[in-house]
Amino acid sequence: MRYFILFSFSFLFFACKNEEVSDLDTSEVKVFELTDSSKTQVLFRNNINEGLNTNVLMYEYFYNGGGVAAGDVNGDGKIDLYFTSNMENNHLYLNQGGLVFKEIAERAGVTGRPGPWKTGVSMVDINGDQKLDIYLCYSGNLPPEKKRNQFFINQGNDAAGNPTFIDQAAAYGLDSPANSTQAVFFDYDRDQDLDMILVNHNPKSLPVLDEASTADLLGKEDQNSGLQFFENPGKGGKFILKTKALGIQSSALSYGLAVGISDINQDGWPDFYVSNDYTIPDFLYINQAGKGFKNTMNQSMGHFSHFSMGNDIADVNNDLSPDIFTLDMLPEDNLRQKLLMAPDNYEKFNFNVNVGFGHQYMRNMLQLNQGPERGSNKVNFSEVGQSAGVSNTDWSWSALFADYDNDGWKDLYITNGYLRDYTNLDFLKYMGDYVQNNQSSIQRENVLELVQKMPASNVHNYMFKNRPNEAFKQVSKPWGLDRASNSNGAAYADLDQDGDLELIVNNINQAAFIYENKSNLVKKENHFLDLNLHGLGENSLGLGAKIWVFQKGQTQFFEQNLYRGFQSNVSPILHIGLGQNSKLDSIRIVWNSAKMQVLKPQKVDTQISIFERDAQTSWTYSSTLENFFRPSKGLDASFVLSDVNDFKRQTQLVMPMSFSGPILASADVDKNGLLDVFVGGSSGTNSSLFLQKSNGNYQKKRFPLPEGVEVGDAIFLDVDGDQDQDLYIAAGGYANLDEDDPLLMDHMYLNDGHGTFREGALPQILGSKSCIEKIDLNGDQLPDLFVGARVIPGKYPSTPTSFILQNDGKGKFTDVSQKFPAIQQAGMVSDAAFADLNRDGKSELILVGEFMPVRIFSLQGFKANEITRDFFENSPKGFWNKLLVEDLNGDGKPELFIGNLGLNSQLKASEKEPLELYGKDIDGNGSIDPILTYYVKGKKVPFMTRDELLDQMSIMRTRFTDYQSFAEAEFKDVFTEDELKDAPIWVANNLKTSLFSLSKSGKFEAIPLPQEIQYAPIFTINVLDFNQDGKKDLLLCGNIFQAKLRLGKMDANYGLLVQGDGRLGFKSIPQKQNGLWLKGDVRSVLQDGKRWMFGLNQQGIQSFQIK
Amino acid sequence: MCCLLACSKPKPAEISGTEVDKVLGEMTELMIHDVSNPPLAMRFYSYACLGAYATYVAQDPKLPAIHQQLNDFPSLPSLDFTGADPALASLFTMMDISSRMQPSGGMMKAWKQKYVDSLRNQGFDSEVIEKSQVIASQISPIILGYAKADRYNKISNFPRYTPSKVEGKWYPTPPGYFAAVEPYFSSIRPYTLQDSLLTSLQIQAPIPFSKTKNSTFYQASDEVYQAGKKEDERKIAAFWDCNPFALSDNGHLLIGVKKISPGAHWMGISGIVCAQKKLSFGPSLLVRTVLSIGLLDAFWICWREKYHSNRIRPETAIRKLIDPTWKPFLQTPPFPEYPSGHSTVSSTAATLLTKLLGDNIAYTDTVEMRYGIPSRSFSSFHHAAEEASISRFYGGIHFKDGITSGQEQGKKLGKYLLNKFNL
Repeated sequence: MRYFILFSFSFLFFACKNEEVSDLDTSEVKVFELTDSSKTQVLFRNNINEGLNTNVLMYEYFYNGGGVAAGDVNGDGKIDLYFTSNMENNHLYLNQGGLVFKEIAERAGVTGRPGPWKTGVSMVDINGDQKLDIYLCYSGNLPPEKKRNQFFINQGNDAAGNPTFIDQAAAYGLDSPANSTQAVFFDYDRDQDLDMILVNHNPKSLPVLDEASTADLLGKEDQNSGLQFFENPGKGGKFILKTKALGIQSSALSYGLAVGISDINQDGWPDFYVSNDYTIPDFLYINQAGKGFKNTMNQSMGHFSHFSMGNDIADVNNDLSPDIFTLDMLPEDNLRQKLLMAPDNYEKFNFNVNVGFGHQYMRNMLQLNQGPERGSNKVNFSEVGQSAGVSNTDWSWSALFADYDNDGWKDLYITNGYLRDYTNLDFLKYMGDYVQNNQSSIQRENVLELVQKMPASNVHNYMFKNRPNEAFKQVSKPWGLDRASNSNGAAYADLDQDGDLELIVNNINQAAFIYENKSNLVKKENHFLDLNLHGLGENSLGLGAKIWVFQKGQTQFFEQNLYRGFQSNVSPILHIGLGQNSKLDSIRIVWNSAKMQVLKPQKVDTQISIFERDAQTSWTYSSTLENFFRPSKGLDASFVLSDVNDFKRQTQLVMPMSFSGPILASADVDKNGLLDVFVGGSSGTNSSLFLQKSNGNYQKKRFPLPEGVEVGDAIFLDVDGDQDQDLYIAAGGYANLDEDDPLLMDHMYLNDGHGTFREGALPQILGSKSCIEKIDLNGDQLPDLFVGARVIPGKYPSTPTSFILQNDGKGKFTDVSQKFPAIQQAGMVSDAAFADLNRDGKSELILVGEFMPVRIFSLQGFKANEITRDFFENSPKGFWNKLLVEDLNGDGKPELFIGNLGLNSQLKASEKEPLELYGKDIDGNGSIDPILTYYVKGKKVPFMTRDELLDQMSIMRTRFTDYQSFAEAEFKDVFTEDELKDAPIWVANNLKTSLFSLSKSGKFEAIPLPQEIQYAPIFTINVLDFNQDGKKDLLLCGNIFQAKLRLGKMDANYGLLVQGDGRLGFKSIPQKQNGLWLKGDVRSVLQDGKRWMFGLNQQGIQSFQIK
Repeated sequence: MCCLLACSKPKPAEISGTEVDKVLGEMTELMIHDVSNPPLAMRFYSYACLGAYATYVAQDPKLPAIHQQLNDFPSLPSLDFTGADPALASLFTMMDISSRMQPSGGMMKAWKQKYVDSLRNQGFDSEVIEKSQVIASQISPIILGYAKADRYNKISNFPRYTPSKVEGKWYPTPPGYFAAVEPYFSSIRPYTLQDSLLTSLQIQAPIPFSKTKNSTFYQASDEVYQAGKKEDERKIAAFWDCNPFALSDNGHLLIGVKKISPGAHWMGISGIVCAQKKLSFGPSLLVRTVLSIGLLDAFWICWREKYHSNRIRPETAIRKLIDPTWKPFLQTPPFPEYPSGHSTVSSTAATLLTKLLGDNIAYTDTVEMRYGIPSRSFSSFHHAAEEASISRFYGGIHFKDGITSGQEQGKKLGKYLLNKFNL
């Protein structure tokens, strides 16, 4: 018995430490049950037969799989299913009730043509006869006649009650022979008939692209590969191809795998998003009031999926605007990541950026809709897939957001898998050993032989449970969905009409899955409502309708669109989970036509029908949100773009170091009563002084700082007691500087009282620095200085030397750092503050930095005493960027607000599973080898890839002779004990931007903050009261655009305004209301009355006026 | 029967010069597997050969002491060959160096074991094998120490190569846009070269980049664009491709197509002719040692110029100036164009081999037959070198002046080496 208790304790421990859900998680019940095909009679499986002429070399989308369509084809009120088979006959299953089906494809005339290559399917009522028709796509490396799409028009039921269909694609003008993935239907011009987008792809590999050839190819129309837009002329007329006329690009550079439809900018006109595979960027086409479309991708998304596959658009966070989710290929576990991750190739990446293909990274992207910019129909997005925990799901195909447990929040189901897992780097590098070469072209047979030796990726599909104000929770296993498969198209539908959504999945070489949802039994406490929409005219499914569901404390938003995920369509019955609240205040439905009605259903847990013909009023779309910040005139500082790449200097640097500017400092230097601004220079850009004139304009003067000095920080202060503002400048920089480069010397400039500066003498203060803080060493009220050191160029992460300078009152500083060794060697300091935390009348020095705990020192009698332990039991170690010490709740005690990396990256850290950085010259070749480790699924592994390791240390080439061995290695297997002996280890165990408040015991404790703060690294923190309620609010900015490729550009922050309640409770103000759209790395923020200036790295200064 | 054989101690089979080729062949296999780049491959061959030679020459004073003329060459202990087979000792040295230096050296260890087993089966005395190994174990650590001190392991201290943004400079090329190969190779210690000698081996600057139609550069680009269309030109280009890693790009299906490097090709040619001339072990080893050392220096000096001039590849220039859809017949290797490495290396090789093995020696090159490339006959080493050089032009990966300058550089270096070694 004792044993048993011990055992269960360790279980508990395990469950707590792992954020992710293990089988031991008892908080989740099994929601899904895989049905038995012998009972359901759904025997469909997508069989792929590989042969000499049917294989991946002939057609590279050979393993993309088939689709599923869900809809009631015989009008009996039950949802029927249609499966596409790439090489065999398609199946149509009539729902007999009780999860039993009858296959009737042949009788119904919808098997499709025999043989290859059938792809996506879409049900639609194209002619408004209330009967569902089926549009079937074809592709493959085949002649046009074998690729003509089919459109099975529903002729009604025969005598036996089975529906019959006739292919009328040609009659509709929709028998396109293009290489099609899927068709989607919507009414783009609001004329009550349905138009069609055909998503096509190039059947051949991407050609070599550069600026010239890309422009050349983009200029040429290629309807076979590019997207096709067909307009419905109405009255049963032939569809008209309008791709070009509507401003839509249709070229050979198209690998379209999905189109998502949504009124993204909420202007009443449906827009669409195109997922493109490979290097071809995705497109976001914004509807120009029914007259055409404009691709706003470049302005709307800072980065997006590289190999985009399926997608879905839904309001994920219940903020009532649709968000976009795209799938890619990044695996979850270390083994598969290390097998798949090609080395960062900056040249290739930059090449693609220069060609205009944008910043693409291999992972799923969750693009949160931040709303349109004022006066524009363009929408901006913040990509938060990693903080949401849904970015790494392997080679993924279909994404379906729906409320699978009826708790009022849309969960996420993702299918994945690839029959031949040949993106494995061992395959690329070593399998080819014996592929023989014949005049530059590989023998097909050899490659096929190799390909067919490759195992399937065989990973399980993913289910993520949505949780308000925190990350999604992975529940694939506890919910009963963890069966390994190679799955492609999928759909959801309430097949057994019990108030929850079944999942239907098309698998390669394996029976289709029908997962029965048991929420009606195991989540009985939750309620639901199903809506059966009946639109007017030929839009009988009510496509494009928007639904708001109002309940106390919560509103949900839905759009009626069946074409979600990949090559499939979901049930036309709209399913709404209501949570435990069985009361529903009202439902507002706005049809695609803008007609509107409001319902107050008395009953839930049922299906109700809503008719557009009953809509009495119209909805007016408006976008007149009042913004707090409005762009204004400011100072005109321009910066030379730098092309330095810190990761070429030290490949294993964790975060970039060179992009810390521009530094802004302000003071009234010419005593005209107006604030003047110093703008710090960087490599290639000189520092400037902007003198403010009485009309509010600035006069720009070149500041006499030597050329090439990168300003790490600057402050105005009166160093010599002559009652004017002098300037101390700390030098920074990294990439092109030597460790003791003269450009790393600090400078001090004395003001002549009229704003003219001459250089004053300083001792040699050498190093790359980040911050200057006024301190007082001896209580003489003269400004002494702490100057924080950030990094030793080329020697990261060796500890740089910080400085303490004593002022004699006449402007002479003495370097007294040696008296404070602990401060001198405090770490890679990024910011400092001097404030009285323990309220003993004397200020303490507080230091933060990268891989540093928050450190607190008392300075007494020229001695520093570290008193961190007085404030923190375990001082949190982070990637701290910025420190604010401020009494935010007005209780007389200071809080600490500290900017950190945030949670939206591949790097995760906790106390139990920290990031650790080893900094030692392991191979004894004279350079520091920084080795970052992190935990993936509970195991400590090196962050670096095998290629990076071998590049860093040539001795490792013999240790890991292939990718597999390195992928399997944990950190302890990579290096010997001896190699790591005496290696300094830096630790980070908290990556959240954090607020600490002093508790009664005098210790700092963390106060929860809104999750939006964690979407991006925070580099600036400003206190303001934007709504003049007397309570302190915060403005937080940051981002890291120059991050290493593996981590990718971090750009989710547009300038986040957080409203305070005066009691340390904060909430984010929606961006569209806030009005700031800062696209870049904000490194400094300056306030001058109502004018706010934002320093954006390498871009300039943007100015705003606050209301 | 078995006992009889063992007891009668037949005179062990003499180790012939072609045994060297077996070890070199296995080294080549490892290089292909590991995708060792061309200069690095030469580094492996040369230290292995040098170790073998330093072993063998200790008991054969008739052979020239070329090793003692190498930069910073360490002093060697005197060796006691009693009861050992000098040829075997030297082969062991070679294998031991290879297994320590090459990434997949573990495979060489396994191969060595098999080799020893086969010797035993042939009746080699175990004691002789052991004694020979003792000698190898005395020499190989010294050669490995010499190799370690060549600063190759310091290369990772340099910043990673950043392509220049100046027009006409090299930028990584499709389809892989692979990073620059060994941009700091000339920071390692060459075997024979000294700073003071470099001016005499200097070649002229490449013709300057220009976009104007009648410029020399435009014409040079057009020349490449027009070339390589004839069947026999393509055959020549394919025969001398020697690209260790060409990327075959089929969407998500990427495969590396592997071949031997130019250095490996010439090591193979030297083996064919040594065998043809039935050279005994010592002279055969001398040929490989001089060749491998010479070719390492050839790569060294060539790479120095490549990353000094950083010249654009024809592929990039032609796509920009003439035809945005153009693709060279061979895949462009990932380093700057000028001068052609194959031209430098082949010219040095031909110069050395002609002196060591004779002029106008006809032979049939079968080196790459096992990689699916048919054999090809040549009337002399110079004939082969000429063809290897021009093959880069036919293949669309080099300009004409890159080839002629490479040849000039290679020949100059060859002559310098012969002079230096007094051969």
